Amino acid sequence: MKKIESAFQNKLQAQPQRTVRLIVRVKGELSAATARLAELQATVLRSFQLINAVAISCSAETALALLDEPWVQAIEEDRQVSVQKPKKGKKGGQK
Amino acid sequence: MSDIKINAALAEAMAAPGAPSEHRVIVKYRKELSTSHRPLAGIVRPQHFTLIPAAAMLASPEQIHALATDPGVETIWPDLIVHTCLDVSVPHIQAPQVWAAGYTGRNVPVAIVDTGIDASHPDFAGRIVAMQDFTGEGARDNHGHGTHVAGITAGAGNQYKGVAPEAQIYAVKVLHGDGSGYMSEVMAGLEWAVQQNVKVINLSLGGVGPCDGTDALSATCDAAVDQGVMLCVAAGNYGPSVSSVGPPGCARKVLTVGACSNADAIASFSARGPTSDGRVKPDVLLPGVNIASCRAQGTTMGTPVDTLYTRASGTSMATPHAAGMAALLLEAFPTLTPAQLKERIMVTAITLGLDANAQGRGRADAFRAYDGTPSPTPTPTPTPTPTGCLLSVLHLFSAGR
Repeated sequence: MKKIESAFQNKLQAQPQRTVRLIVRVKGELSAATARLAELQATVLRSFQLINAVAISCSAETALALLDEPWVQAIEEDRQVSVQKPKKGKKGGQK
Repeated sequence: MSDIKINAALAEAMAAPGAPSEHRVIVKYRKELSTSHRPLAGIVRPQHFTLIPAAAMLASPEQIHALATDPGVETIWPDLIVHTCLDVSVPHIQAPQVWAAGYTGRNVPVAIVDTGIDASHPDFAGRIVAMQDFTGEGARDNHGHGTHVAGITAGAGNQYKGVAPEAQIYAVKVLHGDGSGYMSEVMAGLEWAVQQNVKVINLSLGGVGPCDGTDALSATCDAAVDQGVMLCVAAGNYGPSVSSVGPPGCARKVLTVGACSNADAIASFSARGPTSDGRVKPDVLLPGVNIASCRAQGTTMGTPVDTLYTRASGTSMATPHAAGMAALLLEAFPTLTPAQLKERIMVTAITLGLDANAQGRGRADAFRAYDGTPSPTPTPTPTPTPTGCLLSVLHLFSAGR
């Protein structure tokens, strides 16, 4: 697993002061990771047991700094998802 | 020889472990036989029909076998319970035949992870076990999507009935009133649902593809499957472009569902595979065009039918058909693992003769999945009618005959 997608890394580097939402996959204890994230001025929004991860909000600069943390397995953007209805103008039927 | 007069479904019901001592049956006689000459063999409460030479009665297995030996008897059918159905899609996938076999998803816990639910809708009365909100807006459905999806899986209306009308409903709100939310909110909803020990989760949501299934949301879905939960996930509506299945539809262990019409034509919007790491997706298709289901109070999603129902299209609407099917199968076969369930639904799907990255294995079918019949060849498209449920039951009669 890549630690970060290069396109996302470029996006973070382009606007280091921007606030971003991330999902951070963690190696080891979530509690230790949460404590370290607080030191790094990141806000932990949720933690996840199923995949040992946390959702956080922080600056893009902090996000890039996380790449140097040994307990960070991977970071990715906390992307938006939505209901799966067709866009207007797209109808059913064979194509 | 006489036993061939006994419908196969009735014979199966009579032979089943724990079968009742009496069965409701409909006996069809040779047409030249007058009512007074019809053999009843001491059977109680016969009701004679005039449109066809038949009578309904309650009979023991011994009496049924005795009737079958009578030359005046042509056929003995089970007197099945009939239902009204949700539009045409539910009979099209042969869910009523599974109900007739005795499985309606009763007490199977299903989580609808979506925009919440309108708990006041009469079609869910007494079956919403829990509601949980991860958006901060409250669990009420202020969009309409979650209520519509829940109705397809588990609605129990008189006018419109979902695939598993006796399933238990866990409504998890992870998408906001505008129909969107963060992956992390969906992940939180999934974790909560797993903690509630639900057996099936429906995810009629997603992001833009392509993807390889390693993103956090897809990984969470796979982890939930590892916990024993069947996940049905929308392929997405970014078709017909190649590799348009988005997360979490690209997760490896989920059942990824694309959309087709009630006439088994793939919907142009239904997302196509492969995933960015080359796997075939979607896994199956199900009806997702112009589906009528429950409407949340005060919402305008879709094309409203009346105050209680609305019509909508999307892989969002196809996916809850799969979740309902999973609930039916889990009631019938409670020891099936999610992987076995997925395989059963896939291998029994009816191929539409399309590319695997468009149709998966084909259009899934509830009765075939229940019956375990693989279907390698396309079947003729039936003409949908408002009385589809009744026709489906009659079809079952004739097929068994």
